[in-house]
Amino acid sequence: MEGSDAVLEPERAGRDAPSNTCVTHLGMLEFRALFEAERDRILRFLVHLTGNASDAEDLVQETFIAVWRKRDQFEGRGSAAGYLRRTAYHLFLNARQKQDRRHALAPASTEEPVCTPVVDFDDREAREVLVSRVRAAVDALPEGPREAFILFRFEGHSCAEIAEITGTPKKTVESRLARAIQILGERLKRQARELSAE
Amino acid sequence: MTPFDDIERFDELRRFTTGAMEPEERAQFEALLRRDPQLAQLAAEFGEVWSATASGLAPTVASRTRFDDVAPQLELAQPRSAWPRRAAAAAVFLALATGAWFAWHQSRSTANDVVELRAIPWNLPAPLPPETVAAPEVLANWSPVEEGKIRWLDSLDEARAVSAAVSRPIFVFGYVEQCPICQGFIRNEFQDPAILALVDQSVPLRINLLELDQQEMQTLVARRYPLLEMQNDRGEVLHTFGGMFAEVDMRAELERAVAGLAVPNWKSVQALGAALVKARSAEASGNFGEATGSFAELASNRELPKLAEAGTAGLSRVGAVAARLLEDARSSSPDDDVALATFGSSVEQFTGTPYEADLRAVLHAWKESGRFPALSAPK
Repeated sequence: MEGSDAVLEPERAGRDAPSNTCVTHLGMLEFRALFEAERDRILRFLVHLTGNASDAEDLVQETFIAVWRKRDQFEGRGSAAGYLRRTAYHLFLNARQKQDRRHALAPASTEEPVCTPVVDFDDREAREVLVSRVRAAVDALPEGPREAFILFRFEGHSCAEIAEITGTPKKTVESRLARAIQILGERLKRQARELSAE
Repeated sequence: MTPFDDIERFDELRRFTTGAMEPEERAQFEALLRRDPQLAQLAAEFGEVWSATASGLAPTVASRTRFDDVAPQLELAQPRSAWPRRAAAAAVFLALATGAWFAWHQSRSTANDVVELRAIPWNLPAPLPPETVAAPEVLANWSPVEEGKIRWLDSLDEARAVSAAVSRPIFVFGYVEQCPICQGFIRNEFQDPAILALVDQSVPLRINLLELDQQEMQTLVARRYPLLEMQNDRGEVLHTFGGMFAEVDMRAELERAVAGLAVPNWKSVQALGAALVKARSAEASGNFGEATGSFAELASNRELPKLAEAGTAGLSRVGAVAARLLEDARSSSPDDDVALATFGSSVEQFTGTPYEADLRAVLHAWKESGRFPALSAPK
């Protein structure tokens, strides 16, 4: 028999209700409610960061287990949902560091990522091509700007929230975002020039 | 220096680019852009990047991870739930051992004006720790399903007390006696062994809706009729069953509601419930030896944390009663024979407790010297 010491949070307030619970007060049943409410959002968050659904699924599990294991260490800042994202983000960084060490000797791609729009958005194939181009362009960004841009552009977080998740000052987040947009903007212009020259 | 250096307007630019600004704010921002060509250039570049990345990074996907995949690893990762109970059990053992040693030691020593207490919390104020759980005495002889039938609780307070004690959700069935849909559930779904097995993981409570006041009944019926939902011990709704009236997949809804929860060992729950009843009864009648035995059993149990807490609190409470007994005796007249006799009979109530040795040592010293002895606190 599991040893939960409290019972679930209500669902009447929608799926956000458990996410607002304080992690330190989580019993097993409350934790389950949090899991059900946040699982898909954390997966999307991790798919955006990793670019790989399979790796993201693994990290979803690791995230929830880590949050449960370390719930006593939660300092009571913000919501459980925010704590989940911070944990997911740090697990992602750890996983990437390990991966980077494994692939340290692999040759880097010299191909320029393309991020020009594909016009026909109704065309499924064209859309997939565009998604992969955007992915490649974003992945080519330096590490800090890349994460900041993903969280800002695709996860919809404000600069203050990104600072909270990544544990960096807001000013740093803003300069990273500026860098990301500058790089992507220059790439767009260059590609536009190349296209017009052709 | 790039145009984006020192910019602090990203949140604003996003709202502008995505059309999320209120008309007045947008007009002000557009006026600002007209006045500041550099900012206008930034906004244009931001808009281009925003547009170029409009496809997103990945399609929206639903996670394949289920709570059942994670739950076994969570069970293994509960460091904080085990040690307090172990500590409580160790403390009880230690107190009994030191008490026994001290009794032996005192019996060999001569009367002394200073009695060194070993177990009674003398140096601390002695408030009586409150009960940590309500009194779900029904636990002693109840389980949700018995002999192929649901054993509904009819009292909401009782159901909440049981739910809090055993950490199981309350399965609420709000019905009307003459309602054919309700009777259909009772005759069919609530006889189905597969459904009974799921109900066995909850605390089933039935509410006769017509016995409620009008407003309360309307509130419940507005959620669903017949009412079928899971609540926690604070009355908060965890899960409302889908479907209208009789259209409910009872089994699927119950499976959803209790998924990931381990099946309780109700025999074990009943044994702990009986220990709680016994402990409370013994404590109320002043038989502290029996009370501490049962409280110790509760404190060392690993299955129900709430009852473990109740056991630990019960042990502390008996210790506080012993401390009060000493305090009352000390404040009596030094040569009061009646006080000595009263103290002597009170000590008998603590036979078999970790505090017996301390109390007997005080009694012995008091009798020998004719005065209540000085006391030193446990080290």
